[in-house]
Amino acid sequence: MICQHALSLLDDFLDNELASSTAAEVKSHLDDCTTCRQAYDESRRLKELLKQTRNRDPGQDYWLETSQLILARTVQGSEPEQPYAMRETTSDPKGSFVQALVSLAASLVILVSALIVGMNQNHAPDATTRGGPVLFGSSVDQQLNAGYYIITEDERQRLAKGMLLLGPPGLLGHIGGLTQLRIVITAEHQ
Amino acid sequence: MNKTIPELVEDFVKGDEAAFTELVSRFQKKIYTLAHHFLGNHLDADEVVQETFVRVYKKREDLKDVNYFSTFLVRIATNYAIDLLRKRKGHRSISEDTASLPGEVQLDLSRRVTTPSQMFERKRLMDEINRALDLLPPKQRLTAVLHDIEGYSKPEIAEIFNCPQATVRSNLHIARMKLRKILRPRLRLKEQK
Ligand SMILES: [Zn+2]
Repeated sequence: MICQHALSLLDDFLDNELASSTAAEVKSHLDDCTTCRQAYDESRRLKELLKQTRNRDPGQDYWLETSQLILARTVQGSEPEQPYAMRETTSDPKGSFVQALVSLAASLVILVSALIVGMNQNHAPDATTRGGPVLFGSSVDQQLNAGYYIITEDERQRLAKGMLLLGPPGLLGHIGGLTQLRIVITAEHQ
Repeated sequence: MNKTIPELVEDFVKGDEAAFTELVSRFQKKIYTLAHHFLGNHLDADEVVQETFVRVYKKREDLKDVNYFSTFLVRIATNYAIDLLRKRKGHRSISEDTASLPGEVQLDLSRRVTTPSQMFERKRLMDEINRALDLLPPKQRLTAVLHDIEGYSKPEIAEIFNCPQATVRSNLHIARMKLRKILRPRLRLKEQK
């Protein structure tokens, strides 16, 4: 068997789809030819590697919720025209375009408010300049384009501290008024 | 008491809603896993799962042969997933911060991986595999995912794509060749250990 022929049969050999006599010929070639042997070893390892990839199971709650959403859109027929049901839980941060716009508008409101507060506070002149852009981070465009959030580690930490208003979940809670806003700004300053 | 899949499908096509509910719960995981491997993230996989079953429900009259349900389902799912991928301009939207998302792909190695450095290494390897898959055109990527990750046979894939088996073989061959080329340092490195 020549190399070209052996190589052309490698996939089938790997998948155990050759007649036993042909498989024996390929095997004997692989025993003698280091070049083909290397190609075979790489293919075999690739196949093993791919076979080992697993998704993490999103969990029983996810499966239950998903089947309920599907049933609501089919047998129960409550949302016949809605193209892909959005979830309300915060564990699923995909926002719709409308939600993103609401988020954007709310961020603007807070930004303007922050500037007003900042003008009235001499002891924290730096806070507003740092506080302003934080509201947007760098990801609003990405949110609108990709439909989900890509956040940096820094943004994630600020998000956790309540300093970055990234999306709809919990957003309205942050628009409680200027008192809350001051806490947000000074918290960053410390 | 437990009905077989063909029995459930027969009831579903006749309009039995409980049968549809049961089919959703039996097949949603399969569709999710496939979509996640193909699209690379939880949110898109979630969308594929929902849309697939809504479409299956609407198209149930088209299902002439009850034994054909799985193929029917996977075909609808893969068509939707390919459309979604085209919307994403061919790139899977792999989130930078997947650790907090539910469907993160990981390597299930038979050896126990416990130390942080082993976990880091495993994550890096998985990222490399994902990036390599990302470089393949949709049909090749899907063929590799279906065959080498999900374990579908070539005749099954030919049925799903409604194409000759020769096409499946050639797509798989090219996909593997490209993946091997991209991942070569990794595939050789492993040999030395
Ligand atoms: Zn050779």
